[in-house]
Amino acid sequence: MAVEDRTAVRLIDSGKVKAFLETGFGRAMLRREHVEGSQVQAGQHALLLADHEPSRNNEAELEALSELLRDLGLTVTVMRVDELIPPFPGSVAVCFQNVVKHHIPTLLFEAIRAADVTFLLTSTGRGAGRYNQDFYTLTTYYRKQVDGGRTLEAPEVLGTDDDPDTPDFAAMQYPCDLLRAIADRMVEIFTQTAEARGEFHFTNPWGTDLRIQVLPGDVAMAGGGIRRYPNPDPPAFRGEDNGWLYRAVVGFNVPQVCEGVWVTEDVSLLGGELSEPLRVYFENAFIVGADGADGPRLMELLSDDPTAVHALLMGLNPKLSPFRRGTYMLRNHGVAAGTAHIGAGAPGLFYRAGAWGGIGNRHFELGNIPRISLTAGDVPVFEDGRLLVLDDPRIRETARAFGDPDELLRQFTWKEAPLV
Amino acid sequence: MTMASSFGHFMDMALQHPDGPRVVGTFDRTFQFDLTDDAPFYMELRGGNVLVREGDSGLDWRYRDWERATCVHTSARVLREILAGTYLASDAYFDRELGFSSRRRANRTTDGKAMMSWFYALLQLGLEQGRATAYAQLASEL
Repeated sequence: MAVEDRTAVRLIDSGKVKAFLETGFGRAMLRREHVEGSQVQAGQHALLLADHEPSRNNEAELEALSELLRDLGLTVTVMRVDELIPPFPGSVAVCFQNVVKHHIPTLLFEAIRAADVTFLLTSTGRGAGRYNQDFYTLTTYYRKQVDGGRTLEAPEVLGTDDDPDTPDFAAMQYPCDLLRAIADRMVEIFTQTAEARGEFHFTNPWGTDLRIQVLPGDVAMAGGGIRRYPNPDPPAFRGEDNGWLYRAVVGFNVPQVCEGVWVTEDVSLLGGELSEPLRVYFENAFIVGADGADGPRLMELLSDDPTAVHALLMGLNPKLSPFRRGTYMLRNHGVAAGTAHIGAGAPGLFYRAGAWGGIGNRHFELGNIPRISLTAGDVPVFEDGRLLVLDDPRIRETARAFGDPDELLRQFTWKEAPLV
Repeated sequence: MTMASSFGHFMDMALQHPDGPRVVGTFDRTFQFDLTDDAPFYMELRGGNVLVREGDSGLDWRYRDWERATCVHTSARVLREILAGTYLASDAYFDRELGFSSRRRANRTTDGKAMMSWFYALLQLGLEQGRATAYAQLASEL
């Protein structure tokens, strides 16, 4: 199975970002990202962190964002920095290995503290707020707004199945409030199942088969992470995962029970695309084994600190097809309804299965797999990649406010051809 | 002095901070402290008021009352270091000395991380007010 594009450290190809930002549509989306998504305010001071040696493509992103923020009434300071979070040799985004306690320069730490909002435009660092101690302290203890990867939420929106070079307008312009409603219905079903101490059964055609139980407070996440605009929560306490425009995901955080096997062809810690499928086995939510050519290497990398599921998240956007000319995008970011990924490991102390402990002082992703099926208790939620909530009468009623429900709730068609 | 009593005094200081009433009143919630080396206690924040009591709140933070309560798991030793200002609470989290549950959502609309940030903000208020009070005392004696 071919992979559309991969870079060593960023999930999204910077050349495509540049081309996107040169279009009127791209500029309009960038504005929405910051007016509705990050919800920056006139008068704020923005700090933009860029690589010390920028490529022309990254420079275009930096210039476009600087211009937009100034236009919105912010003052802008650009700092060029050396490698912010060192990438683990041989890994691709998203991966935080051996950097949990990596310290950024004091000057940089204090600059972020002094800014109202910081944008990470560097090639590394996206997601650091959860997985690096300094960034966690800045974002959670000091409640600083640090946005990474805002310009585009996922690589798969930059093309369509038929035309890899034309952005997926339908997916990117999908009504945010309808996506929130779809996500909230899913979260409601998940919460009811979790409150009843029910079981989730998760499968896909590659052989993935997991049985999961979670606490209701670890069902993720309100609105699928889609922005509320305006956001009524106090800015200092908005939390995370709440500013997306079209990347809606729901699922589970740190499950109490997770047993079975996950089959993937892409692991960020191992460099992305694999030479053959990898079967990763979970017992008591921890990775206990892996079959496949890369299995021994994965287990060796995890041998110093047992690693468990940090999150299992499923995409909800019904318009985005994760295919390019009929080929499944292994390096997608989970926007499409019916795809799902596991994020493994996270620093911190977690309650799980009646005890407190760590789940692995690292973070990496076990690929976004296609065509999932999921039952929550007895309720089917996904069936062979199809998001069944799209047929819910309440969702149809909500959709009427945004256009033709038949059109808005029609999901892309999964390929009939075998995926492996 | 028990840990609950120490924490109660600390929160009194937080409330005296100029930003105290506003920050304390951001949410209504109970934090149940589960200590590895001391008796449990809980802090109830409601309508901008703070109540710290020894023992168990009686709330089921895992299931029934997940939208009303967060469990804070740590030790009295670590908590004393945090209240003394010698150990940053976020460092304690990364050192696996301090944990929160549940993590992802505080209720049906509020992100779980907001509870962590709020808890840390309360600690910061107490520390800042304590330092300001101590300095004012010192200055008055000069």
